[in-house]
Formats: sequence, C-alpha cells, structure tokens
Amino acid sequence: MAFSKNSLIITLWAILTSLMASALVYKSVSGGITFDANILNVLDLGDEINDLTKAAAEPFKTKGLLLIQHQEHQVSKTTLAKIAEQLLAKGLVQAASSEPSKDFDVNELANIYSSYPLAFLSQAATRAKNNNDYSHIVNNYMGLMSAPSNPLVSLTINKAPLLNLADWFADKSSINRWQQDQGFTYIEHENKRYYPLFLNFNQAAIQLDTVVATIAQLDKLVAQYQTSNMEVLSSGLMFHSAAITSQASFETQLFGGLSIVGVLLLTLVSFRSIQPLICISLLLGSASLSGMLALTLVFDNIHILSLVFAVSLIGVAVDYGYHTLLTAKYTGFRNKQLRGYIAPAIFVSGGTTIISYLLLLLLPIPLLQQVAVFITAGLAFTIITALTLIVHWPWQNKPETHPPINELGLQPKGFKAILAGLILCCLAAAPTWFFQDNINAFNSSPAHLVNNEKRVSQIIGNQQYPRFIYTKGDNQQQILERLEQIRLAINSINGGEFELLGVDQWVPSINTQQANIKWLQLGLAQGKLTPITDFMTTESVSNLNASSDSFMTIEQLPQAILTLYPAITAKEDNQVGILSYMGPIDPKFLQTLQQQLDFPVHYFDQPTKYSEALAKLRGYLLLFLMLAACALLLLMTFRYGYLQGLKLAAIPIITALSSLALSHLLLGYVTLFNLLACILIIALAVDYVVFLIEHGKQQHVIKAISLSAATSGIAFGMFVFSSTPAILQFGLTILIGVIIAWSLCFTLPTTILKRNQ
Amino acid sequence: MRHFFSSLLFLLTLHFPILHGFELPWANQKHIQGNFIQEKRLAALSRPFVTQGKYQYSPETGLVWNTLKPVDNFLLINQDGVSEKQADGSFKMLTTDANFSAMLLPVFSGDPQELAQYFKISENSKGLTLDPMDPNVSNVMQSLDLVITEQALQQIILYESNGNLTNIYLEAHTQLKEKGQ
Repeated sequence: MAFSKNSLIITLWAILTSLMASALVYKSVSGGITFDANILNVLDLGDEINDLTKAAAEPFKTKGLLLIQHQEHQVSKTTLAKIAEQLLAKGLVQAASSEPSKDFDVNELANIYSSYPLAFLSQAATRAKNNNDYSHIVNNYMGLMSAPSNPLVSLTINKAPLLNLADWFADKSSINRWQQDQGFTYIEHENKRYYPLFLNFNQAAIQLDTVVATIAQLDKLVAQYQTSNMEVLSSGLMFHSAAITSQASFETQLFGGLSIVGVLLLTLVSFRSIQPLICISLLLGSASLSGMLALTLVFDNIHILSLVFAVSLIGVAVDYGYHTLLTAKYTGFRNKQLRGYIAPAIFVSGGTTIISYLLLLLLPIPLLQQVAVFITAGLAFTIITALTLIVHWPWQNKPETHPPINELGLQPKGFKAILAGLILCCLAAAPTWFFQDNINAFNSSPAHLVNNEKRVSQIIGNQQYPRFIYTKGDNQQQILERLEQIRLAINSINGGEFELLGVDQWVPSINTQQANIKWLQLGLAQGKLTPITDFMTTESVSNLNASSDSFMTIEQLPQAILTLYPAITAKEDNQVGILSYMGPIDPKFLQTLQQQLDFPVHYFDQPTKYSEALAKLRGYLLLFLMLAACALLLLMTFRYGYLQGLKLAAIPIITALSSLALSHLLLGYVTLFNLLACILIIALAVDYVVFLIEHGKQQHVIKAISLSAATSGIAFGMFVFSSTPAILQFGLTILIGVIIAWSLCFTLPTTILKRNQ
Repeated sequence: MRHFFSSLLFLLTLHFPILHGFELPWANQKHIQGNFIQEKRLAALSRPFVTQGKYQYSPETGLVWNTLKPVDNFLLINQDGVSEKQADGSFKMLTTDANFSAMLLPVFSGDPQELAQYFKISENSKGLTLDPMDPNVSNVMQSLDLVITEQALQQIILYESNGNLTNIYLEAHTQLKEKGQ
C-alpha cells in the first residue's frame, strides 16, 4: 500500500516535471526564448545615457577592419582582394572594400541633392563664401569641365550647372588620410605600407550564436592566404566579442563538465549506491528546468549573464538533496516520518533563501530580477522534489545508526580561533578597502587583440574607437546648427587633424543652406559668375535665380548614409546630436572647446559611464545584502528566539563579510561580482546553520554539510582558473566563503545549538 | 568607277592593319604626347564648352591633361583616380572612382588586353566603338568612339547616357620609342 502511494507521488512528480519540460520545449521551438548578451542592457546607465550609448555605438557595431602589410605591395593587394571576395561569397559581410564607406550609391545621392542646386558648398567653397571670393566657384567649374570625363559632373550638371554639387560630392568622397594605389588605399607607417580592408559585417553573422563561427571563418581565410613575412592586424568589436564568447563557452563546458563529474563522483563515493546519484541528478535537473521555465514565462528577453549567476542554484539545491538522503540513510525514517522530520529545516532554510532572493526583485536591474526569478522558482521546485520524490523514494537499505558527534569524544575545537582570525582579516582589509568599479577591470579580451587595437590606432593615426561629443537642442535644425559650430570650433583648435564624423556633414542646417543659396544667387545677380553663366541656357540661369523655400532635411538622406553616423535622438522635449571624434579628448581640450561655444557641449565618456553604472549596480547589491541580512536576523530571531537567533544569523553574515575581506586581501580590491557571490554564501551558510540547529550536530548532518560544501567548492572553485575576471572574482569569493562556512559550522560549539524549548 | 574601287581598296587596306586583332598603332609607344581640343556638348550648356591644351601619356605616370585655354588646369589621371594640381603644387583628388578614370587609360595605352578588360569592343567605319562593361560606369558613360588613323588616335567621342557628348580631337607628337627601350 505504502509502495503504491509512493509510486503515485513519484508519478505525479514525473508528470509535473514532464509538463514543465514540454512547456519549455514548446517555448524554445516556437521561438519564444530570446537571449541577449549586450552588457549595456544589464547596466542602469540612465535613460538618456542609455539611448545615447546605443545611438553612438550603432554605426560601429558591424564595422571591422583588416590591415595587411607585406614587403611586396602586390602580395598585400592580392591577398586583400582574395579575402574580400571570399568573405562576400560566404555572405559574412555586406561590404568589403579597400575604401572606407563606399557602400552608397552616387546616382541616388546626385538625384536627391540635385533638387537643391545652390544649397551645398564644399569646405573650400565655404571658405571662399566667407571671403566673398567667387573666383573659387569659377575656377572649380573650369577645372571640372576641363576633365575629359568626370561622373560627378555628368550626374549633376543638368540640375546644378554651377558644379558646386559636383565639388560637394568630391569633398565627401575624399579619403584624406589614405593614399591611393591602383584602386587600393594604403597608409604608410614606419616605412611599411598597410593596405586596409574595411568590412561591414552582416548583422546575422555577428549575433551571439554566430559571431564565433564567423570570426573563425575569417581567421581561416586569413591563414589560408597569409604568406611569410605578412603582417595582418584586425580591429573591431566583433573580434573581441568572438574571442570572449568562445572563451566563456570553453570555460563553461570545461568547468561545468568537471564540476558535474566531481559532484556525481562525490555523491557516488559518499552513498556507495546508484540510487542517491539518480535522486541528486533528478533534483538538480528539475530545479534548473523549473527556474528556466519561470524565467521564460516572466521575461521576453533573457540575459546570458543571468544564467551564469543562476548557476548558484545548483550549490543551494544540492544541499536539500543531501540532507534528505542522509537523514533517510542514518535515521531510517521513510515517507511521512521522514518528511515530518526534514520539512521544518528545509522550509526555514529554503524560505530564508527564497525571501532573500525575492528581495532582488525590488532592485531596478533586469539582470538581478532574472536571477531572482530563476533561483526562486528553482528552489521552490527543489523543495517539492526533496519532499516528494526523495522522501517517497522506495529505499531498500537498512538505516545506519551513528551516535551524535558530540558523543564520540570528537568534538572539533577552534571555533573561537577561526572567528578571531576572520575578524583580524576583516580588520586588515578595512584600511585599504577599495571597490573596483572600473569597467577595464572586467575586460577579458585576449592580450593579442588588445595589442592589435593599439597597433591599428598607431598606424592609422586615429583613436581606434571614437570619442563622442554631444549637444542638446530644441529641434533637429538647432542640433544641426550646433553641430556645425562645434565642428568649426574643433577644426580651429586642432586644424582638422582628426576625423569628426556627424550627420551634419551630409545635411547642413537650413540656415547654412539658405546662406549658401543667397551667396550664389548674389554672385549670379552681380555678374560674378558670368564665365559660367555665359555657357548656361537662359532657362538654367532663371531656374537658379528663382527663390527657393525648400531645403534638404535629414529625413531625405538614404539609409546607407544615415547608418554611418550616430542618429539624432529625441528625449522628451529635447533632441540630442552626437559627433564621433577620432582624436584624443582631455579636460583642457574640452575647456577650450566650451569657451568657443555659447551653448553647453558634453563629452560622452563611455568607459566612465559604464564604470558609473557598475558603481550604481554595486550600490544596489550592497543595499540588497543589507536587506537580506536584516531579513535573516528577523527570521532567525522569530524562530529561535532573540539571543540564539542573533548568534545563528551572525554566522552567515560573518562568513560573507570575511569572504569579502579575504578576497580583498588576495585581489587588492572587490567588485560587484564578489558581492554577488556573497548572496550565495549567505544562502549556503544559512542552510548549514538551520540544519544544525534543527537536527543537532548529528553525523548525518555534518556529513550533509561537508558534502554540500565539497560540491560547492568543486563547482565554484573551478571558476578561479577562469580567464574572465568577473567569473574568477565570483568563484574565488564563493570558494573562500564555503570553506569559512564549513569550518565555522564544523567547529560550532554545541552550546550554541541548544534550543530553548 | 575604277577610281571608286581604288579608293575603297585604299581605305580597307588603311584600316585592316590597324584594327586586325586590335593592334592599335600607338600601342608600342612608351610615351605619347600632343595637343588636344576638347569640346563638351552638354544639355545644360547653351554652347559647347571648348578647351585646348596638351596631353601626355606614359604607363608609369598615367595621363596628364594640361588645359591651357580658357583656364590653366593640370589634371593627372591614373589608376588612383583624377586629381587636380593646386596653386601650391599639391594635387586634389577630384574623384576617387577608379572605375571611371581607368576607362581612358587603356585607350591611351592601346593595350588590347586592357581594353578588352573594360570594354566590349566593336569596329565601326572610322575605328572602334567601346562599350563599358561595368554597369556603374555604363550608367553614366554610354560608349566611346575612337577615330583612328594609320598612325595614331585622332579623335575620342564620349557619349554619356544623359545625352551629353564630349569630342576630343588629338594632335599627336609621339616619341617613337619602343617599349622596353
């Protein structure tokens, strides 16, 4: 009868788990699960900065660069052409050109711009306008007309017969920094000639799940064509993204595989039976399934980092499995009796952990909210599994009875010494305490890629990644006017040495367009352009003289141009315009720039903004940890009385604090990832303490705690070998925390565990 | 009648050696230079825009197009594009579109292989008609007619797709140096 009841409960558990698995498979197959790896989406940069970051980063997201250098220039050019051809053939890139930004259609542009025949003046023509020197327009016309063939002339002369538009387009297609060599561009550096291949990757080829394969194909191509003495340098975010993803994937598989093998071996050795191993595997599998299902039901977009930190579920969940199994083994309790014995401890420790994690939902960080949902659902199902599947498992073994540990004359000592040591560590770390929020501390790009970027910067003379300068305005036109003024001011400061990219290069403000039209029409009226108008038909001249009240706006620009520059973003009543500056920016430069302008100009320092966002996130985590500590104190004092509750709650808190202190002493700083580890440490330590107080210092309790600590140590200890700083920091603190928590619990005097009835 | 046939025979013998296998008569000359008169007949112009000047071609430097009238203008056309000499002696790139500038260079080099690389070539009564094969180029430049005499390239007629036409009359003073000498 008992067996059939057990079978019924186990069958119900299996049905519930199968339903969850089916729901997850359905969500997965129907495309209902999307993953995100963009770090920007987990940091609270503030709405404005968030929008700016995205707008500023957009034009550079798909852009990559290869620089090829060989003594024989022809070899470089041939290699470059072959790589470009293969990349295009494989569909990895939209464009692979030896010239920057050559993916727009001149015919289309000429068509659009010709509707405003007098509105555009090249930089040289603008200088001539400022000096009221019409001879530039005349000379330019004569020069362009003297050429046997010039497509810009052919495309624009019918509608813009002064050829100011042809001059404008010549300006736009000039690639000042690069020199020409038979259809290829190059740059000289240290007497070596570097040929560039500008790549515009397909969006689909650089997604989280494709970027590794894309870059691997590119590397293979490069290796295939690379000859001896050839230098190939790469630059672009996708190269780093591929390296980091590949590294993280390798580490996850290696550490994950090793820790699963370790945990299973440990379980097998401890129980010397296959059945507990099956129970533990089912418990962990179903907990992960439940967590994942809850995550996909609550959130549309799951961040990959949430899953990394959600791994901590394994460390907590396995505890309940071990406690239930070992209690069954050593007490001989089964079914209802076992459930009645183990349930209070599981509810208290599990409840404390769940409440702590639920507090994360109060923080406005999607990453932490996702971790909370995953762990809460996972732990809730762990409790169900422990109290149903494991409790009602048809165990056949006879109980192994052992006396309590304090009756063995084997009372471990050293609790006070350990406590004193931990306090000393905390005191030693305190004077130099430093929270590291600098984003660079988390950079896990391989050194050769970072060196490549530096080398490319040296060769092309620009900062490899732009600095962003932005300004606000009431409307698009005011933004364009302000961008023009900033451009003028920067050029006056540095003589136009560094590239300054912005949409204003392609669409001058209406004020500027009006001024250009007015100046050219004045020249026509005053006869200053007679050498040109002599050749024009009367109709052409009268068309130019006709007043125009239509002007070009950003909306008319083709998409191919718009994607080259940061967009003007609307924010409440304001508009924000961004310029990408390829030169260095320091406070003096900014001060000089601001002095020349009568409106505020801002420097968008991306690394600083990220660091500030990390500091903010760290602040939230500290707040959360304090709330969790308060919740722990309340729950413990509520269940175990004021004094004993206080003493018991102190153990997880001291463990977390001293783990942080020891991490600080080892690393020289602590980061938000060390703090994240403290959440798990508190959860684990609470488990140890609750089982000790609920069941006394029995051998099976100590064994369960030891097993739990060993598995957590194996699982998270692996992380210290990670080359990803965040994972290393997380793993190190947990490893230290687990050792401390186990040592404190193992040596905990039984006097502290005596409960007031 | 006999006279007519004699003239026809003369004309045929004149053209066959020139065009057979596209062996252009100036192909062996390392340097070509001379005067030009260029006449642009464009829809936007009330009268042809006529320029005069000197040209010079060598495979190493490309084509120098030095306009002397109505303004002094110095253009260098090579595989890198079309650049204009500035008052300070530097060159300003007018267009970096190598596709277009590359069109004229094989015409002056007379290299049949190069010509065949860029153009579909057909013969006409006065010489050759060259149709650009690159669609980006043919969108603007419809075709080129080369008027060829026994010894030299006499005229280039450039037809553009928008109806514009450029006539270039060349007066060659070639340096009869064989390639490799």
